[in-house]
Amino acid sequence: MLSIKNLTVAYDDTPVFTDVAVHFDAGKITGIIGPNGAGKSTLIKAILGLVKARQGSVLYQGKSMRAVQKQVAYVEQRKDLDLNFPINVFDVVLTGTYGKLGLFRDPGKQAKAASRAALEQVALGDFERRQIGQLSGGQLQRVFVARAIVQEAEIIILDEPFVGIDLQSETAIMAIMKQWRDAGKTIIVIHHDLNKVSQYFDDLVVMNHGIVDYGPTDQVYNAQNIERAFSADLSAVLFEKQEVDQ
Amino acid sequence: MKKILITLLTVGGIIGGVYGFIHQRAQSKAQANNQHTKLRVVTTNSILEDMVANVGQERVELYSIVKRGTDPHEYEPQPTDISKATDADVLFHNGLNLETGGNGWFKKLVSIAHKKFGEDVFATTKGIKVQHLTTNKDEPDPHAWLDLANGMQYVENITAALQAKDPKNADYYRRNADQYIARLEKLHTKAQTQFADIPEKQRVLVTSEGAFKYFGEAYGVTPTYIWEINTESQGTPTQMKSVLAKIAATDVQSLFVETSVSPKSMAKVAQETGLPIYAKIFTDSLAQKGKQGDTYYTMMKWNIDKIHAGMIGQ
Amino acid sequence: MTSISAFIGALGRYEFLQSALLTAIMVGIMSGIIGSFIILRGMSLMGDAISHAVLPGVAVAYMLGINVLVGASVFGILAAVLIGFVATHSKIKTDTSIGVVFSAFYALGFILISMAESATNLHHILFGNILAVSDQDIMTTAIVLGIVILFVSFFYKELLITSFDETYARTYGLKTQVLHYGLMLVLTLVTVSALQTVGIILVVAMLITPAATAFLWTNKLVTMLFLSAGIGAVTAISGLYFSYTFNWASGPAIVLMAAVLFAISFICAPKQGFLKWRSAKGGQ
Repeated sequence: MLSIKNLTVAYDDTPVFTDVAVHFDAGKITGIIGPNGAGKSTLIKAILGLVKARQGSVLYQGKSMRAVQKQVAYVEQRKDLDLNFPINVFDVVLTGTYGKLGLFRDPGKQAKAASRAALEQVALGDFERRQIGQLSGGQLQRVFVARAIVQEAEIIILDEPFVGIDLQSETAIMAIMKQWRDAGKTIIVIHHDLNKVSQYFDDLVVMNHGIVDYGPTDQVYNAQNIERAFSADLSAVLFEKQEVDQ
Repeated sequence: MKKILITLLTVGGIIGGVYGFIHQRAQSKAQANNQHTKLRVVTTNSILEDMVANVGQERVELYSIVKRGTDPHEYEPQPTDISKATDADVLFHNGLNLETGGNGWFKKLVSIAHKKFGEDVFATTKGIKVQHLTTNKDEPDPHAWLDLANGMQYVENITAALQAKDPKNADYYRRNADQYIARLEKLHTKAQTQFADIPEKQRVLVTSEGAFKYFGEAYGVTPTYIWEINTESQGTPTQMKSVLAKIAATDVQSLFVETSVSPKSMAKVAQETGLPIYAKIFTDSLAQKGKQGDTYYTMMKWNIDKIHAGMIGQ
Repeated sequence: MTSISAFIGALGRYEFLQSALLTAIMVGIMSGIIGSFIILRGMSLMGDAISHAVLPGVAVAYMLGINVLVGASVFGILAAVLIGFVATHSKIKTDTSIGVVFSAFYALGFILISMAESATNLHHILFGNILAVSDQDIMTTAIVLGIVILFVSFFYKELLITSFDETYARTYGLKTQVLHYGLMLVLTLVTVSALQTVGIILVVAMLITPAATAFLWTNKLVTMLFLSAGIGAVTAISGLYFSYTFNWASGPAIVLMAAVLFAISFICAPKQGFLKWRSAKGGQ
């Protein structure tokens, strides 16, 4: 279990959230939802060690994140990358093996075979030599998921993976995530909107400058929480059906 | 592992190869055996070039580095200059810190061309009574050639060097030198008394660079200048103040500016004093070929005549 | 084509030309290699900055009589650290920080050099002095080339991942800051070596132009590195050829050749060239 306690993160003097507590279970796909600026990215950056917390702890099975760094895979937002970079699909996936290789070893046959297999898993086996700028959004996202596969991590964190991708890619990625979940890994997904929340996520974390609520999706994804995180209007729109039924 | 080995071998190969190349080159310094008939002479500036031309004439192949109108005190050698210097049999420089003062561009050139001072590189000022700068008493003033007597000594030194390097033409060089020196002697004798008709307070020569010490002593004029030597700062406020004061204390009628310096500072002096810049005169360089003053003889004659006329106030 | 054979003949006869060519080629290769990473990391301005910021280091080295590389490296790293410090501890963005720091260093260097050396030596530092390069300079350049090759070879995958996706690299524990400063240090060494060929003002051209040219021809980093090194070498050779044949200043001649090669590639390169963009636009 990935357990967060008393976490406060601030940029300069403005806190993004204060004294936050939440946990993520293994064998579950946990979604994080919330409006822009809610602190979703900051939370996972704190988990990944990309920002320093003012106070609090982030522990995985009682160990610090630093100690289990090699067990964490990060699939970042596609928009932050330079797609003109001279690298092809295969080599991107291969970089997933770098963490385990360390400084002075180069990827060998095993690493290359693993990369190939991962690409097959996301149905991009024929795209190995493509430069990454030549891919669609969905294909690119699958490449980064393949990289995460190759890392053989216990915790996989994905940042808005379903933004602007085609249905085929979405299905493929969801399938991979379910495989990970069934293998007992901890999957954390920042979700960009409220589409298919109940379909994707076993557990849910709702944020708005702090944790509004968290827990199993069917308990947490309700009108009050959406109203508290987003707005009354949105909540009304989403849960209209329920009101009518009542 | 394999990659580490290949990389180390490649790097080792490169460094070793370069090292080897440099060292084998240093050892086998067999100069390319260029059979050539004429003596190859390189001079630093146009004045020396003209002197060598007068002595060697068609029996030497002559190349001069600092082109006419350029300052030989600080110069950036170009590829052709370096190759010519490398191929030369004998090189002449003025010495007295003309080309070796400041950053010493000529010293560097001699070393790149693998020549040696005293063996193939000679200073034309050997045996001359040296005058020193006032701003730095240890530094010599290089402009000795502006006294024709020194110029004649230059020609003697040049002739001796050419004869040593090319003995089969020794008589030819001697005859040419004798004729040339006779002409210079006549001009020199005339100049020694030419300025006597000008009152002393008017017999002041104002130029940008203090190049006329030797000229002044030989022909009886008082040199006044803005900056003493071209490697110094040129036209600083202190220098301007000083030269304006000196001018005020005399009856000088005209100013002069040299062809191889920037005329800006002298123009300022002209503006301040109301005196005209009478003429351009020559110091570190001859005129372009075809123009007046394009040989040492005509350049000295031009200087003497123009300075004299300017002092009278014609 | 007799001028080409004249050039080759001259190479056989004149040591200074051999030295110049050997050094220029080595500088071209190492600049191309490091320059590739500089442009991919979006650090072209930083490359320019470091090349200017080493000037006070060169001045201090002259004055203290120590090795120029040491003095320059100290100031190069100092500038890199200062730039980072200003950018992260204020609202000043990195490119502004770079501008402020490097121009200050450069001005300081200029004043120091004018005190320590004559005008012509300053001219050499600013514009290069490849025709007067000594045997020791050649050896030093060879050693720096060796260091560059070793660095890029041993840390290739780290350089690759930090240039492409630095955030990801940090997540698996790679010390990206250390690598950044390592790259800055190697960049400083390359800059100081390149000073000899093209001088401080034009070093950035040697870092950027061959690499940019190579980038137009390939989609693979390894290919880009080799191509960039090759283009750097060709640039050096052709630049020196023109310099020798037409008596042009060598440093600027080399840089001009680099620009010519870039221009040709910009128009003709199949994958990225201008003609390809135009036909793509026309096809829509």
